[in-house]
Amino acid sequence: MNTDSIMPSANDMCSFFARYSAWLIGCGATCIRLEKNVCRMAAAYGKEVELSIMPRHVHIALKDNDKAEVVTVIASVEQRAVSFNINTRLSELSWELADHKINYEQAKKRFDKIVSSDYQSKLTVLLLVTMANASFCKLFGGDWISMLIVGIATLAGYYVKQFMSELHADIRLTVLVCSFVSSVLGATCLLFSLGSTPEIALGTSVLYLVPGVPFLNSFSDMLYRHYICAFSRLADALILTCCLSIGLCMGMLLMNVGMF
Amino acid sequence: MNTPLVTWSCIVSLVLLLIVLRLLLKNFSFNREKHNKFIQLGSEREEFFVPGDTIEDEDYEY
Repeated sequence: MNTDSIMPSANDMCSFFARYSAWLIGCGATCIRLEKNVCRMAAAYGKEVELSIMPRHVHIALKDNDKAEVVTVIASVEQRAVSFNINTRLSELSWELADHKINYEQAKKRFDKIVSSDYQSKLTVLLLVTMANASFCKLFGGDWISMLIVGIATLAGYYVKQFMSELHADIRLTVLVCSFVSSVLGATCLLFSLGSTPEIALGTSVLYLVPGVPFLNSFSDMLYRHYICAFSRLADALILTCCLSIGLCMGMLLMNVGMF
Repeated sequence: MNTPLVTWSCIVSLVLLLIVLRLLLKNFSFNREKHNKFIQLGSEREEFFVPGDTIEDEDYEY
């Protein structure tokens, strides 16, 4: 078991917590998880933390009981894609620091390593998303041909999504374009009269774009009365869903698929 | 004009074009980093090397 030989200053610790919070919330963690993790780490050093979590900023006040000192830091939330890997690793880090398995300096190094080494193979993600969405088609009662078409539509749509993300395109535009591409390709069964469940193929071809994490996080935040974050995330999720719907409707319209 | 077929064909062509272009660009940059040409003459060993095979320096001189 490691212990700190030198107690970190409140200033330094508050800056570290601010960076930690900015990354954790940016990776898709809920507000309650952030509160628990940061309070756990601060309590291990006999300090108290007050957090104010806003949609784009985190405001941290660290109170040092021994010196009657209060330090405040405001950090901007990292704007990045949801990462369950970073989310889990940062939570583990908070437990290790709280249990004094690692000291403060080691924790800072570990933090830098976690946030800088989140590598995911694009090809693996592409294939897994494709298989997952094709499985959705089967779950909703689609036949094998529909599954194949949904797989191809997802593969193409997600490929375009990766390409547009590399170009740093706006996420709303990206979702709209991907939804359009996937819906057009998802309508292949209808266009060429393939299989017996073409409607299911079309309906499930865009499911991979549904913003599930923001929806779930918004409900979690609402349950714990973090209403500002909850409504912000809900608004984000609804806007993305609208973009998805617009792309889907455009695709259906051009493919002459009746909506009602 | 058959709008659905034209739309479908355009989307398929664009996606395929994007995939091919990106693969070519990736291959080109990959080769440039390794200072290799896109098409080149190589030894048989480079094509059929199996882990555990002797490397060039250890090879016998016939």
